[in-house]
Amino acid sequence: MSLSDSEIVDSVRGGKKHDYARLVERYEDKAFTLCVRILKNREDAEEAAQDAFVRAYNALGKFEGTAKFGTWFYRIVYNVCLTRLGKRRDEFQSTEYVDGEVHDDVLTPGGSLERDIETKDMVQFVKRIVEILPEKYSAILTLYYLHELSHEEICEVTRLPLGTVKVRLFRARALLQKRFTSDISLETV
Amino acid sequence: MNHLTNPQIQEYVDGVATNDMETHVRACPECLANVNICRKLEEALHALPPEPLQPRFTERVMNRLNIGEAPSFAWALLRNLAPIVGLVVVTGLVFVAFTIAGAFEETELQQSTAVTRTLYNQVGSILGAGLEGFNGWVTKYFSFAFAKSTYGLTGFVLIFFGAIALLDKYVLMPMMRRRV
Repeated sequence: MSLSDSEIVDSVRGGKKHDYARLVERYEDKAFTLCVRILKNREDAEEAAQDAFVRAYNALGKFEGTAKFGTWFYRIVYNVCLTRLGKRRDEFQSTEYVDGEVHDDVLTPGGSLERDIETKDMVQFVKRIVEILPEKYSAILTLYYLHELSHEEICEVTRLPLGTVKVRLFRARALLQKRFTSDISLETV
Repeated sequence: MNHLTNPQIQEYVDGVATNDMETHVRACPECLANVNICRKLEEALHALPPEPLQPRFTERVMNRLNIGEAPSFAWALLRNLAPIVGLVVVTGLVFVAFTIAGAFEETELQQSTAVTRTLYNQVGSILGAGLEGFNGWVTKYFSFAFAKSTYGLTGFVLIFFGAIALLDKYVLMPMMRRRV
């Protein structure tokens, strides 16, 4: 019988600390993916995901159970990533992306993007594009499609207004579409 | 109607198109192509797999939290049996102490000790029969363990419990985890 998230949380709070491993196993893939999408670096992402699980464990007493555990936890993951990103930007003064602007250089991945399209491996193509999208778009796409959160839940995670979430989701899709149509002619679709 | 805008194409793919939009897409190859692209991208986005993690991620997290592994099945069993084992041991010690003190010798307590002795004899015979049966079973099916070496029994016991420990760690515990 599979325990629900809140049952596991209760068990951990009740003293069975090792039960937390069950939550880690349940959420590690998605947490790590969100970190990779935001931080664009696997080592950083692994550290961030670990940090998020440690923070969540320490804050488990504050989890009220009114929201889903997943939403609450993804908010921690998102915040950990943004903090790391902020530090990194302070250090390297990296490029800022302005809402609404799409820079072509942002969408120029290394590797064999054209080959992916030729072979019509759409998933591979989309993965490559999502990997290089600015984090504010790739994070929203990941939360929406992989984590299967609703617009409202994404608002809870990111603390962004509903309108902004919808706009970012739309722009992310538009970026994908733009890249797709610029790389393949309509006849081959 | 003009060509569909990007938001309208997305609405169309999301299944919230108006009748006008539906009619237009059916008649306009360009918009139909855009809708198809959008659908393909949507399907691909849904099919994106999570990023593969390095092995033993959970273990690293639990180490950072200084939380050890869950107690194994054998350990949990032993812990649950501990009160019974303790009771048997204490009873045995009391029995030995009584015997050394001569409590079971013919004294004025003869009447009560006779009852106690009968009881112990009955328990002893049951346990003896059980042990004899187990012994017979072991010598029948694991005769190889006793054939050539006087250390056979020790070896057998070590291998037997070692196998149980390995079974517990690598089969039972992972099975219990997967059930979650």
